[in-house]
Amino acid sequence: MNISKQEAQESLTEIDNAISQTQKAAGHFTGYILMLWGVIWAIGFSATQFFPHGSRWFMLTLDTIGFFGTWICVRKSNFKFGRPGGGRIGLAWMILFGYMILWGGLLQPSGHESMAFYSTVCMCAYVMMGLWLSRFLLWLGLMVTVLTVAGFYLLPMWFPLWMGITGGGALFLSGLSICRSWK
Amino acid sequence: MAELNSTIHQPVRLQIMASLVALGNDAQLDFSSLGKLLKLTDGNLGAHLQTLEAAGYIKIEKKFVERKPRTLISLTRKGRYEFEEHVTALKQILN
Repeated sequence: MNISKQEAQESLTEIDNAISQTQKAAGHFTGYILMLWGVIWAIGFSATQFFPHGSRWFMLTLDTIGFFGTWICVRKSNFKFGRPGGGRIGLAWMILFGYMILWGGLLQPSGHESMAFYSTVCMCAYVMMGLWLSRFLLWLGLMVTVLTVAGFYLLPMWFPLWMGITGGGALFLSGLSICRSWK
Repeated sequence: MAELNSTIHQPVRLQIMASLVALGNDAQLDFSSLGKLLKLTDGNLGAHLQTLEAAGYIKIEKKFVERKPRTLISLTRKGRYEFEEHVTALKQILN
């Protein structure tokens, strides 16, 4: 099979276009979910700084909204893709959510320990998802874990606000950068 | 030296293969999502997918999700290798 240089160039351009179009469609979906969780973390943790007594129920309510929001994003997405057994990821998050409630009841962490505990458990799930799905999630999970531990020890007075700004901000900006980079 | 692949070189099949490659290893893409992405009719897309499946470049899996039939398309290892060879051959022509 022989083709001209011009035809080869056109084919490579077609390939590049198809790849960027696909990544854009897939990226928007992931990006919106990360942005949603970024906003939830930012509101939830920042509010905890100023209203510490209602923090447990406040965060539980926001997390529930986040799960439903994620579910709606998945359902409404026009671009459906996944990996074999990928449907189990949603189920795994539900199980983790259930276990977090159980561990919370058994260990009864309070105040800042509670925030660091739930945040790092979530980030542990991001890191593990990253092993199978995308290195990006792995590094994001590790980065937010490091920020959480740093804030816990170095800024105890401002830890909730620190988590709202850095943790929520990292999730939101990651989502935004995915959406923008694949435009 | 890499060689061009006449099955993959057809414009629509080239786009299908590129879209599947873009999602990474083991990714499965929904039939209707792929059709919308590449702006193809079901019939046109189906015909090209059959050609690629017959060549062993893609795998088509049909299953029911919440009682609705879904067709999932994924790239085989052979398909990924052949696509990469084809891209290398295209680049060699330019050089």
